[in-house]
Amino acid sequence: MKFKEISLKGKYIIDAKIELLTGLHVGTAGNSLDIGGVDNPVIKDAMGKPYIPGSSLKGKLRSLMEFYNNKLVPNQVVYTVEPKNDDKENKERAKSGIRMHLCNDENCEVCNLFGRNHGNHKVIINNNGDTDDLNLEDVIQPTRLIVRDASLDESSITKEMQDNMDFDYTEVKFENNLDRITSAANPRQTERVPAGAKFNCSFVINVYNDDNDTYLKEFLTALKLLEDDYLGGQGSRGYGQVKFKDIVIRFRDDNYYKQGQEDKKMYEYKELSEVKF
Amino acid sequence: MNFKIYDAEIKILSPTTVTSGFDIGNFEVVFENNKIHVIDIMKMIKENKKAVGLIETFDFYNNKADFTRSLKECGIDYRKYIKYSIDAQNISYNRSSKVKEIIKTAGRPYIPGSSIKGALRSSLSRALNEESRYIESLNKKINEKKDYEAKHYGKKMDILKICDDIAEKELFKDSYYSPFRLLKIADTDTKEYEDLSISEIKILNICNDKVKWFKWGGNQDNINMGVSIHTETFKIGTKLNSRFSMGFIDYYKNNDIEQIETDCVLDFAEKIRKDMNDYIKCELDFYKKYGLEEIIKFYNNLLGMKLKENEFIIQLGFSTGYKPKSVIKNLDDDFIGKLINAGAKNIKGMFPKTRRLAVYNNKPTYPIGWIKVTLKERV
Repeated sequence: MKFKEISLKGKYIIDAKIELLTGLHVGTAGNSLDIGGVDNPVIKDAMGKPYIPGSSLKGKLRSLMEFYNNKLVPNQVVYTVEPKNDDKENKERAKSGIRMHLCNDENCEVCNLFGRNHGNHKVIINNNGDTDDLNLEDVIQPTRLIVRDASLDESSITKEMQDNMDFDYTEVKFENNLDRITSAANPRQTERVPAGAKFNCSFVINVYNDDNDTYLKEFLTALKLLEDDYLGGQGSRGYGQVKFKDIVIRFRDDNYYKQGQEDKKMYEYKELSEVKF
Repeated sequence: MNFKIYDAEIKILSPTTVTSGFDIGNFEVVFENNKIHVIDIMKMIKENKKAVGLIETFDFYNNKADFTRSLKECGIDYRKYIKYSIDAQNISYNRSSKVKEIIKTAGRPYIPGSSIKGALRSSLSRALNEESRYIESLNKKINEKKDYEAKHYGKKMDILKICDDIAEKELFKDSYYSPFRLLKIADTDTKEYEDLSISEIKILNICNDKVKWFKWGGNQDNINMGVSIHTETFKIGTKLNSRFSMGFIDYYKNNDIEQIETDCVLDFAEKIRKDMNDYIKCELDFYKKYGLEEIIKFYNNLLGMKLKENEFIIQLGFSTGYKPKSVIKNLDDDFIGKLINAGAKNIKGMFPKTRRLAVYNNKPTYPIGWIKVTLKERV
């Protein structure tokens, strides 16, 4: 195992609002057996308020950056959950495993920003799904990006909105899945946070060695991609369109942590379209 | 890597609605001065003690009971408790009618991406010309039902909602590998109540090859006697904005790892234009046969539209009938027999023999749910 000196130069702290342009559904285990429960509830905190888990945000950002940087090709995709042994001979069923990009390129913008898993992995080496062993010990670095859970800005749910919703912070949308032969309707209901709601989100990017603003730029690209995609579930049929607003980027270094000085407000944007590096 | 994304402008061509699944009760509605006023009953109860007494004694289950008149008799001015008002011109409204509510998010009307996508998906599935696979799927389900019911005497198997399962899986695999997950359609923006009107819908029913109008207990020759359905709809000419995205479709097109068949969603606007053209011609033949002039005029106008490469028209939402939702184009006796075997009820002879039409001044004027989509690719 090689050793590479890693020196923390500081932290970018990014605060922003996530505004929902369409209803958001980040699902959780059902409570439909409760009185008044819905079939597909959204995740809520201990106070019953919906929030966006950091894991959902980070996973989506990573996935988009894997596509954007053309990382989902043979020799760059590993199984994080391998298909069951019985399934390996069956190409269709072999897809039951979970795959993501992980690699041993120490300059990989995706792995360096979002992190690598320790240990041994099975890397997919061709389009048939054949695998080889991959060990990432030599390139393991601390994860740079930390994504906080995003809390609901309660003031964004106006009285007018509340008067027209099923619950204090969410609405229930009824949909039908139609049979393409008989046109019979199969109803389903989904709870969602309504369009117009805002969440307070916060991110930290650790700056190591000579990173400078390399990973900050990558991160902002990921946010732009997310605005053009969707967050949460059912995004291909309308849900989860979001916009980042009031983005403030600060930098904290030794002076902040040791000297107690104020951090430096580096950038401030009303929206992502203003970001031009 | 390319990220394909389009801004979509949706223009309403005929009264269009996706309903919320709820009805606005007749006691919540006042029809006056060519407007429907929806009353906030809860607000009225909270602010007016007389209203509490009225609510306790009023017979809400009696269709003939007139809540508006009772309000007046109690000296309650409903205008103080209007939640919203909607244009209701050139329609007839009976005080016993409920109004079907348009879907709203936090109180504002819109068109869900799921409804737009559902309509596109049906059209793109039809464009594949794989009708025989769907028929085969239907056959297998009918046999499954027969076997089950023979083994379990007295029990019924409901397959109507899953007749397409086998064909859909053969064509599009599991949902994770379906090409339709690459076509992402956002909910539209929300609109104001001024963009809505109340539509009166009548059900055209062909009986013995003659135009009749549906009424419980017996179809009617006179349109005025037919049952009216009232619903909140977007006004003709209203424009809504959505976003269509194909995302990283190039990756799926060029990469064998995922093995998603992208072909059926590529060039979707062109495929939908062709499919809709065929559908409109069939509908025109139907209406010409029964001489519904205004509807013929409407469909002729649709056929005459010079649609550009980035434009298409499609029919979606409430009261659009069987045809836009089904992939089966050849509705012959053999197919209708199979539908009956699958458990479909009230089907005899001609199918579908009903159409729902928006009626103005007692004249059938528009089929419901036609929109025009214009796409603008983001660079």
